[in-house]
Amino acid sequence: MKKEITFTLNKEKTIMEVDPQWTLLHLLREVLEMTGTKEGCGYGECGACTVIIDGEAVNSCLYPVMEVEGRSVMTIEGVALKDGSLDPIQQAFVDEGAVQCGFCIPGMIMSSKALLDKKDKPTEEEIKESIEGNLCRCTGYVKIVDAIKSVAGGR
Amino acid sequence: MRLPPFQYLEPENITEALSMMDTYKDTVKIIAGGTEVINHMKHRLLSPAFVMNIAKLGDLGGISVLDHEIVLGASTTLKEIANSPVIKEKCKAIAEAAFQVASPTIAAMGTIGGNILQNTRCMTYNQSEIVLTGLDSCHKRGGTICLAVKGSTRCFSVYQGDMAPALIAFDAQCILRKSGATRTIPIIDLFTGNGVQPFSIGSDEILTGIIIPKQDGTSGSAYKKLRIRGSIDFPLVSAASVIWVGADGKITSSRMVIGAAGPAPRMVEEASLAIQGQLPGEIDLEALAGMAYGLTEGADNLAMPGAYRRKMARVLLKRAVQEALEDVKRGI
Amino acid sequence: MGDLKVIGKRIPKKDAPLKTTGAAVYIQDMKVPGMLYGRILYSKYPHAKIVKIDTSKAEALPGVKVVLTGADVPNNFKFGFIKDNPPLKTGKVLSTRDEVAAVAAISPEIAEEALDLINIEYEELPGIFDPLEAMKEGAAMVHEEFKSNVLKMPWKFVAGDVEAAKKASAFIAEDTFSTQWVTHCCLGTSGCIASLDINNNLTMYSNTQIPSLAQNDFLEALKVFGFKNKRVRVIQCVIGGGFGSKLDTYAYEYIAILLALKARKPVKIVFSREDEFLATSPRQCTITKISQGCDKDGRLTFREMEMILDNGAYTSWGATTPSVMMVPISSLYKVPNIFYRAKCVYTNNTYSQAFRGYGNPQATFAIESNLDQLAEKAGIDPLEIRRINANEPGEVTPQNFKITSCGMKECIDEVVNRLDWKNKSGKHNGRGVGMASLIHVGGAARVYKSDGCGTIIKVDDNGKVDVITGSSEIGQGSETIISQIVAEVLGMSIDDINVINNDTDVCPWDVGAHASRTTFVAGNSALGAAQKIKTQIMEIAAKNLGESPEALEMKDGIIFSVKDKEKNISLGKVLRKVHYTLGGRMLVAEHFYDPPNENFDQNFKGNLSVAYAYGAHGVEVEVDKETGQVKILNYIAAHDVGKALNPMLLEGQIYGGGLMGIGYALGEKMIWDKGYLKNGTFLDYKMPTVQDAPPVQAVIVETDEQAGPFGAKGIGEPGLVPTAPAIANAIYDAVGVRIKDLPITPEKVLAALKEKEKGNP
Repeated sequence: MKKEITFTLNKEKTIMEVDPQWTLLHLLREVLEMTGTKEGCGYGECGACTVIIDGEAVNSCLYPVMEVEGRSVMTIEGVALKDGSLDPIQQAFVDEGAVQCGFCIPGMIMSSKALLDKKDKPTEEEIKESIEGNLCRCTGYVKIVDAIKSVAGGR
Repeated sequence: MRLPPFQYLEPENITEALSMMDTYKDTVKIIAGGTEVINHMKHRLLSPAFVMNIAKLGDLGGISVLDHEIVLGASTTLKEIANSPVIKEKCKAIAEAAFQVASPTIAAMGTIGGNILQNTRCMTYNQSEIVLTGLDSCHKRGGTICLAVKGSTRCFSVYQGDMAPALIAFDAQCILRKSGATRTIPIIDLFTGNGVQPFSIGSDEILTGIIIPKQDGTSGSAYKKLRIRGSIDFPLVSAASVIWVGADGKITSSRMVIGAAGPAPRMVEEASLAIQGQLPGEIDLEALAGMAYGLTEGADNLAMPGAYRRKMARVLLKRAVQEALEDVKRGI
Repeated sequence: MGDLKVIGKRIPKKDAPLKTTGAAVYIQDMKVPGMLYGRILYSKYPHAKIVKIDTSKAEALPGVKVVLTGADVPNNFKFGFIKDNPPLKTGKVLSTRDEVAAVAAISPEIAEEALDLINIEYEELPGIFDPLEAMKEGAAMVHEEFKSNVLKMPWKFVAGDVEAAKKASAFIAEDTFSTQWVTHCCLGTSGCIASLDINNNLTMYSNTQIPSLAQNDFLEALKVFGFKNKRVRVIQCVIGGGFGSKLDTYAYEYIAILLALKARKPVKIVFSREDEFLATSPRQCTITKISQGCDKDGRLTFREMEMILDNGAYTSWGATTPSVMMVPISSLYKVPNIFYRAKCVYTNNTYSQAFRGYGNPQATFAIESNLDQLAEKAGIDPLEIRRINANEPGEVTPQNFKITSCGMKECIDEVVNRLDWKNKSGKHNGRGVGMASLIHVGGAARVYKSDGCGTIIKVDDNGKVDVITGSSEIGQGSETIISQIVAEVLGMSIDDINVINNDTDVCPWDVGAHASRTTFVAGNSALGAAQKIKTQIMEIAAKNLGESPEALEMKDGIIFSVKDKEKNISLGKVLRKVHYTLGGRMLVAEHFYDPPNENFDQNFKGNLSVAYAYGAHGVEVEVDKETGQVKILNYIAAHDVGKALNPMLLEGQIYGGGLMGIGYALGEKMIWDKGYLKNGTFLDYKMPTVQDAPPVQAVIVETDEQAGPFGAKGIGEPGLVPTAPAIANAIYDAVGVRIKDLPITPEKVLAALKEKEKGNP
């Protein structure tokens, strides 16, 4: 039985017919075909599906779609600027060599962006905490942390 | 992974929620953050007919500081608790426990109520369906055997919540409501000690809040957690301690709790008695630690061997007490 | 080579903007019109007879289009290195990852539901899960037809006379070491879309690391399925991690083809995370008996190793890992006398495959741990024994490896200096330092008929360049490195270079992204093609400018006379001049580079690689004596890379490999209990998080390898090879206990400390 929800998706008011059994990730990837948000495990254990809801980074694979009602959701597709140029955090990931296979990267960017949106100059400890739920197998995390630091002005 | 079919319930207020509980009882599963229930439903460990979301019930969130107690709404997120200045100041061990739960994304969704009421876990139970399919049903899956301890007539699943041990150390109470009735019980009494049905909460009840009583004197507290990785992991054993010292420098009261060592957190009451009235410098830490050992179960059903986890209960308790005493010294 | 413009620079990865915006399309994100969703049902038991399969309920489920079982696999088709693995099993299942049925449906949800409706009656059989048990006389056969559980692959290498050397040795250390199953944990799971046209030509959307070999495998399969003389096209999506996991073809791919054939529609199979843990092939676990000796001055006299590998129930390319294990066994340090024998043993466990390092980490763990034991016996500093025996340029090793460039000593020195070895070693105060070195193939590895890679370069009318390469981008950055090489030769910006690397219909042949070979082989191939196209360009420009080609240079898309820069012509103009003329032509060049390395002969001798990569890792640890927990305080990873074509990407390989190695050393382990996987989730499988990443210094040592493109050697795998023994050695230095069984978990350290207290060694 479908229900209607209204929410903000990447700054646009969105009204959707949804099935309460969907997760937010299902809505994004399967229904809206916004495939930038990745499913790495489906159980909230890898962070690849991270999106920002009302300022907090959360796992969209565990997020009941009905819970989105009235909230503001930002996905990786909403991070770049309107003219298509990269957000500073995205540019930093590019410039610092933080990207390899890239599958974890949208989640990494959402987690770190949620931090940077709240704190201009987070400490290295806070940077690591922000991505400690985001698994990456390629990079050893070094350049990912470097990239976030470079935006945070903490270098 | 698809979720099994269910009907979604969204009560407008607590009264409606309680009345739904009254109607659906065992067939309804409450979610607030959903981090455990959705996960378990995907694993097919749960397939409730109804899922009721209480996250948006206004009266269940937030941290209130009253004269004699601090009240935490059940839907307060772990992140709010970890970051709360008053919790960090007055109940450091609780903030530390919240800070160490899973990962920040989970802590931003997960709630204190959900964390307390998280199901017990076991490597032979918390498995994907494709792995479980070939194994016989254990006690926790409605069978009559234990896959972790061969021949056991009971379930050896482990309560791996981070919050409960810390809350119990602060003598916290929980508020349980049902239609027409409210009761407040110590959190330790929520636990049955039975891995199959770990909680004494009624099928028509909702955990709505937690009360942390204020106590006189200078106190120190700490929460220690054994895990393999620096994040994500549940505790493999944990220890919480709170120590109060009077004006004469002597210990007026203390509470020590071991977590993740059996189906329920255990209070190390013997240790509290032993140090009552002592000066911090007089405490025989090794003896205290030894008292934790006997309270731990140590089956080989988590990521580290049971025998090792038992030993670590000892080390962690010692370290938790040490750190709490250091806090006391600093006059926190 | 002094004046390099693009090579050696920290140039961002070309595909990074795509990946940071979520625009990169992985197999998970791909849709083909009309496609169905396939899912696979795995065996309930590790060893059982299939008595009956009832698929009627699944077939009746609305939305289900095809249900297949082993009976539907045509002509007894089997795949794998020795063709012992049917994509869907009949008669018997041999492991819990055995595929027993598959469905294709109009949605993933329906496909999943259909699996629940397939009824299979099994008769459980006792299984064999321990290779030592499986080798015993009278053990039940995993594959009855083979008459033995030991694979008929005679892995044996002998050089000199080990027995005589033993007698002549002043010191001998021997011990047994073992390693565990670990899995790749690619964040993007395995998957494919099989699509057949009306004539049964196959297009496979894939995330394979071996497009050309996969193409061949699928072609073979089509033949067996009864479709002769067909075409197979492999198109790679953006690949969410490789590490060797996609270095073979797997049952799911053949199942997708079979489902698509039957449904007459494209079928997509993408693994869930559980599938990925259960049904991809881990690094093989090993048991290694080792003994090494030295003379009174610490010079190594012999190395003797016997190894047993758990092959699992089926045989993939992974069964050839002993051939790469031989690299360090025969050639890490100068050792004149070698004896090595390995047996791969069938069990009812999961079957193993390629994983970054391909056997080298297991062998190096035993060699380098045991070398510290020997050093102690001989009373020599572990650092000195490594210096004394270090490999050197010009050496020919017992396996006939011709060592060209070799920076092993420099790497050791970097470790020693940066760790402050002299002041920190030998204290035994809870803190300690350890080191281990590595050798790995660094100039490809000839394990197939060809070790080559082809490149085609074409220049378009606007002076932009397309580089069509056989090599695969699996996140390592090959696309960027190839662009840099071509850009350097042609004096262009890498932004003007477009790399096409994902379609076998277009791209030339390549043996695959393995053996740390892509920069070396694909790089040399691109270099050759770039030089050829440059020659063409210069000849045409020379005619136009009235100069000789030698008098010209090319920079930023302009060709000019060195003497008179006013005499110039743009690249695009050159193109248009030859293109838009009567009898015009295109500017295209091709180059196939097949390195001059050798396949092993029957005695496993031969120069496997054109060049060899070296490195040394050093680590400082602190051991908590109450908990047994090991904390890494400092980690130095020094690598001889020939020449760093892009230091930023190269460091990424070292950091990534290093942490993967740290996971291998300290925490990761797949727990297979009597054939059942007990920790198949990211929660229970302890892949390191950012909080587990210690401070690592990547140190690049350049030795200018003459055979490499601009002097480069491979670096894809070396980063995790010496990690585990370096850590084990540091723990020994810190607290005097040696852990010989990976992973080095706190309980093992604590138990060893207790034994030591009791006075047991």
